[in-house]
Amino acid sequence: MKLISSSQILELSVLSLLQEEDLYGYMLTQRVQATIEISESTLYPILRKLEKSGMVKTYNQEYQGRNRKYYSITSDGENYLNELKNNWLEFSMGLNKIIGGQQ
Amino acid sequence: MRTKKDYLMELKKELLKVLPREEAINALNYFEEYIEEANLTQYDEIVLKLGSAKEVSFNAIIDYQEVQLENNPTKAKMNWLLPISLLLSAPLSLPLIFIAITFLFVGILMLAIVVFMIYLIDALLWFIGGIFTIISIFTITQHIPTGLFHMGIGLIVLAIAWMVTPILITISKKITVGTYKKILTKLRSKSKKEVSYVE
Repeated sequence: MKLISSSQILELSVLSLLQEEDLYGYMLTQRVQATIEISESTLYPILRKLEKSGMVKTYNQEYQGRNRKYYSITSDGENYLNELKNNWLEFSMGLNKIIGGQQ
Repeated sequence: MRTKKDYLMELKKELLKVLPREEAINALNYFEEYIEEANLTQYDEIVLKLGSAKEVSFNAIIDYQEVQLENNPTKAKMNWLLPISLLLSAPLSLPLIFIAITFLFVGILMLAIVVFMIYLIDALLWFIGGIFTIISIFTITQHIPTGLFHMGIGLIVLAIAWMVTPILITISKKITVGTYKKILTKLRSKSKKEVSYVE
């Protein structure tokens, strides 16, 4: 099994959330923060990287006179998400085996 | 009372220091939207929630964050502060470090003095040589051997100065141009430190 990096875990979280619905930066951070302790500025580089590599695309939508940049997952992003998911499952099952926990 | 506007201005400045322009603007837009969504209006409350403009700008660098995440999951600490914290946390080695710094300083100072002396001597050679040659014009009319002696010394000293000066000029040129180039490339590599997207 491969080691999973922190940024991969965050990518996995972000892409999974985006698979449900399109979200904007603040809301995405709130959703991830509900489970994982991250700072307010943690997701920016993750999102920028995913955007640059074509895993997500963005569009602007006006909300109460201001702009919201929404992120939405692409088909490349979905493939990547599946890959990350498989890596994660393999990793967590493997690790559980090592620490002798339930599988 | 400083406001959101002050924070954003500071953030822009900090982002431009660490990211290429396009990336800096992108990050600025993201955080501006973020601050609005979070309903933050005062400078202090933004710092409390997001961190200082400097911290945020550092976190916006992809590769830098990778390192941060692995080392410290919640707090964004700047690792270039590490040498200072090491220095402060090691009281025993502190005097040693000061001694080392003092020695280094004295060494540099002595080198500077020596270099200055060499140049001063070169200038003096021109001066002394010139004086002797000029004096010889007067003394030769009164006592020829003395005049010739003066002229000989003057010309020898001038000749030495003539040989030494170009060498000194070349050396100092090389050193200044070299230092200038080094500083320039250092500055350039810093400003060009772009975000890479390799895994």
